Amino acid sequence: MFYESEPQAVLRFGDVVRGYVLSAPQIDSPGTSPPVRYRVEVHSPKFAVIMSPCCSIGDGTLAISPLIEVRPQFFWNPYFAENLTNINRPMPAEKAVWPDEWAKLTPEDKQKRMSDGDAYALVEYFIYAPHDLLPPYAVKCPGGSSETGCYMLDFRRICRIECNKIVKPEQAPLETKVLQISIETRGELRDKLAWYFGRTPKEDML
Amino acid sequence: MTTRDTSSGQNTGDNGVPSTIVTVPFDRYEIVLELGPHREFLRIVEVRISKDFRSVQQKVESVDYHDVSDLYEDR
Repeated sequence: MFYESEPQAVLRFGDVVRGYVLSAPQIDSPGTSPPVRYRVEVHSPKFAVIMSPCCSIGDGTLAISPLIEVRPQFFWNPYFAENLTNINRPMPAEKAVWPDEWAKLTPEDKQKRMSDGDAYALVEYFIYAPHDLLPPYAVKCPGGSSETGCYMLDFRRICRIECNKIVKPEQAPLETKVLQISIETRGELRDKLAWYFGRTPKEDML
Repeated sequence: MTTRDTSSGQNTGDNGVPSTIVTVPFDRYEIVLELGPHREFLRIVEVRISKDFRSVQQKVESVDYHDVSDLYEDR
């Protein structure tokens, strides 16, 4: 079960919401103080996801990320095409690429990759399963055009909004809440997000 | 949390209350709960020790990643 059948009357980490505006400053010449050339583009995604941990929702601040369309290339991999939410969990090396690509690898390279065991692939992304409230859209798959109801988060696009109506999880604009993910799904999102920010870069490993 | 919905499998003459079994992780334990049709608590079915003894930190450190992002970029 990806979503809760009966969402709670509180805002929670992983909730799908709507009606918020997001912005990402674009700086042409960073380094000068103050920067002389920059742009602030504001957009209002159809859906967004709450990225603040449940206990940190409040004080007029919320971390949020747009819920965006998935990459058509995901459907080239039969393991992903079968269920795109497989991207959310660690997987064996041979499942992370499509069979033709796996066949190109040398036996040594295959062995090296398989020795890593189950691991995340596509570390920036987390897929949201289809739901009646999320409109399907067309994607170009290997076999031609198709339709999907899956959406995804890109952890690189998380940003902050401020809203005085967000006092605490239960005292917030609840009318913006569209869907709540299940405890199990929230655990997967938390694990992948924690791993995304918590991994140690190879150059820092002793 | 894992969920098993028992509401759809009723047989003729079965007047039992439709319920859902959920498993909730709690510290080192897993609590198996039975919930009613409106997700209200009915009873604790089982308390068992979680077989995953790793902390979040240990989980993060134990998982490597498959570096395949380039394959899925726009071309």
